[in-house]
Amino acid sequence: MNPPDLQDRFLSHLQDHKGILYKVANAYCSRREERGDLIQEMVVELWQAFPHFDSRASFSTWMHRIAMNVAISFHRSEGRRIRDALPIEDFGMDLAAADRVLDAQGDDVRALHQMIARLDDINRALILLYLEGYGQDEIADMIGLTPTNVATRINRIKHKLQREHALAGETT
Amino acid sequence: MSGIDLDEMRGRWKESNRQLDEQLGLDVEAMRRALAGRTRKAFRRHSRWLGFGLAMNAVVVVALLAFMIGERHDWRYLLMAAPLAFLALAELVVGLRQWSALKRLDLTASLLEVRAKLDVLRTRRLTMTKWIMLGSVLLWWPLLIVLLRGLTGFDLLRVLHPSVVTISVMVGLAFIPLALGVGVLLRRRFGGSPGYQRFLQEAAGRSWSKAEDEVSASLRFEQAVESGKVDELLMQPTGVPAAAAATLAGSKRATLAAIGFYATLMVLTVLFNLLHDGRTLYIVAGILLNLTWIPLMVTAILHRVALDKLDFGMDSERLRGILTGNVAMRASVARTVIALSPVLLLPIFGVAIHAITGIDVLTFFGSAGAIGVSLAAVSVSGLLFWAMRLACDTFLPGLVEAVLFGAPSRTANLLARIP
Repeated sequence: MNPPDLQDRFLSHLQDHKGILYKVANAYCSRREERGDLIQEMVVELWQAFPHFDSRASFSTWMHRIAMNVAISFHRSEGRRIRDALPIEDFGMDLAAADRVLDAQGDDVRALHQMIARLDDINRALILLYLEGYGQDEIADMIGLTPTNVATRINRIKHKLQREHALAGETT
Repeated sequence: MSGIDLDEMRGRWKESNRQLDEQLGLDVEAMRRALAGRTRKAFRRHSRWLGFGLAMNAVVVVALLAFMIGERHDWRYLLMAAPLAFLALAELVVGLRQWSALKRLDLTASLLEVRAKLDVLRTRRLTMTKWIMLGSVLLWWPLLIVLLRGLTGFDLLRVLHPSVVTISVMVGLAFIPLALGVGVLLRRRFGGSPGYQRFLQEAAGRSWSKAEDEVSASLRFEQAVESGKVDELLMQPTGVPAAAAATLAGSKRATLAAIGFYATLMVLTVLFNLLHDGRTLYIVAGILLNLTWIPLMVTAILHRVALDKLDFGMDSERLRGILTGNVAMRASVARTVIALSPVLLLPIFGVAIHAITGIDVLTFFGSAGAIGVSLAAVSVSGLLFWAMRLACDTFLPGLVEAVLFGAPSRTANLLARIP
């Protein structure tokens, strides 16, 4: 496959799954400018890894895995950071509009995002993947935990939220 | 806040994905241009920046080796350059391993695998930083002497009184076990305090500090969920409260002034070392003076860093712990300095009088007189230490306040303004 074909395929996949970039960046960075930088870093890493992508596999799964690893690396300031990244709006990505979409989803979605942002980096990834609809085995494979451990962690978080819900109900 | 059921949220989450894809937009052509040009160039530029750091390190190693070959007949310079070359070489090896590991980092691996590799890199860097810090007091004079000799050919060793080098070597050697010992003592005394935890985070570096902050935030959130106070936590302000802003700014200025003052004392100690004529009593005093200013300076710097990074969004108990922990560490050092001051002031006066009037007080008083005055000073110091043990936090609070440039009262003032 020649490079332009490869690039077309990559950009087409990216176009279909750009929401993933936003959601992962949103979970790991609180400031909008940082999210823009992180998204560009994810795109560069995805593009560099794309020649090794097995087309029989799911692009979104592969993308999630790389995006979250870049986010963790970015988060810990150990990664190869693009220091002179362009404003993300130069790529037509309107993060402010995306923020408004999330705001319009209601208080509970906003609260969920706040909760995700307060989890440690692994639990954050775990919940993101769970909400995206991945099964326990897939999550376990992507994160490197056992399926049982994944189930336990998800249950813990669920129970806490339910307890909080019950307590909030009592006080209102 | 309405309740959150993760299973129910899954459907809405996927629905928001669809809306996000519609709203986000992606200029494919702009992205194509970026991938083909600027972004990759930026990426390469950053790689070059990393490579530049390593190249500079390699130049230092080569320059030091060349210096050692050039000075192979002068054992004094060989002895001074050897530890510098060793440290530079170790730094280069650690840097190369880090660079190579980052280049090989497989981002398609599982998250835990990637995180474990990042942690290994961090540990290596921390170990290197620790040894550079421990060796810094020992090596700064050799660095200066080797630099002058290497760059200008000037032989500083001929000009300097041997006592200066002796003092620097002895201080440096004494500093290593002392710093390790103080580390153990601080861990025992303040191990559980948030102030000490913040000290460790800062010593470990910014990235570690950030990661720790995340873990703490996570713990706070879990505690809030357990106690049903998530709403309160989410509503907490994160900026500096208006009532505390001026006090905090004053505390920062005072800490900076203290750092400047301690730095001046360190420079004056160099002057002290240059002015005395190498008598044993003064050499010992020079070592003591250096060992006195260093902890004052280090704890003041840590206090300032903690003030700069105060997060008013964290729970007030932890915030108070960080503030009081830092001041407690500084006060503990200040009390020790005050108790030691009679012993320290004696040689300072001796050297100052000699420099100003030309009178050698040791000769003036005679050996018996000098021993008598020294014993008196040691006795007063001993009494002060005894009083310090009895009084603990209430030991000469006015003097502690002065040595710390008002840090205890400013902190109490700041604490009173935190909701």
